[in-house]
Amino acid sequence: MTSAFSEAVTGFDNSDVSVSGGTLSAVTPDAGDPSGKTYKATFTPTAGVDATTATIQVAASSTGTSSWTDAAGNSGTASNTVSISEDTKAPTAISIAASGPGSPTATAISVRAKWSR
Amino acid sequence: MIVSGGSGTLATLDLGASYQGRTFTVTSNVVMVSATVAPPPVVTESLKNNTGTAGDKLTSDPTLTDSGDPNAVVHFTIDGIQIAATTTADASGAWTLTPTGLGDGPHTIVASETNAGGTGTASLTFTLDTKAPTVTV
Repeated sequence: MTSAFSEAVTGFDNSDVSVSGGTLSAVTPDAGDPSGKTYKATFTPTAGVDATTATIQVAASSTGTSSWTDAAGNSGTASNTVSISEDTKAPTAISIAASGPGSPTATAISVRAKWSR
Repeated sequence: MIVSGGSGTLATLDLGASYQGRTFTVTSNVVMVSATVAPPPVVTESLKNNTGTAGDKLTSDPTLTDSGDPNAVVHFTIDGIQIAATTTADASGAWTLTPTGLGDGPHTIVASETNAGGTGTASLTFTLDTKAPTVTV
């Protein structure tokens, strides 16, 4: 996740970010942007789920635990919400069966496999 | 001859008719004139609420305050232009002004008071930022 602010901010950390469907690593200023307007963190989706939508949003200051401001002390406004369709569930084979004519001279047999999804 | 403060040049000295025709020797060209004149007001000016980092003169609140002569009327210029609004100091000399219509950005506001001794001024330059920060993820 990359957060791009309109101006340098203070007090921005993980308590200012609403996350569902996974976890976020510690939010840190992006070393590549000395202006202090960019922060980065890594989102890790919840393991073993499918058909789940993850969301990430920077909350408006003064809502919940959010408390980030600009240098003049103006409260920050909420960001857009990023939605991610996540699928971290591995498919499994639940059955496999071979069928054929049963003749010892047969050159082909049919194999039928079924996966969980 | 009137000298108000400091020094002045004496052009003529009329000593009256009884001294006409007499010869004088000038022994000194310095005339000391003393008078009791009130000093000009000492005006100070500061941000009432320096929001964000205190003392950095970057604020979202442009309210000004500080001190001068008791009960004096305080006049202001904003970025070099005299404004109509004035404020009156209280009995302790404290005054407050909330400028209106000030846009975001740097501003210099000069506060002045005048008494019998002259005019005292104070100047403050600060940056106003009332805009909330936004963020995109």
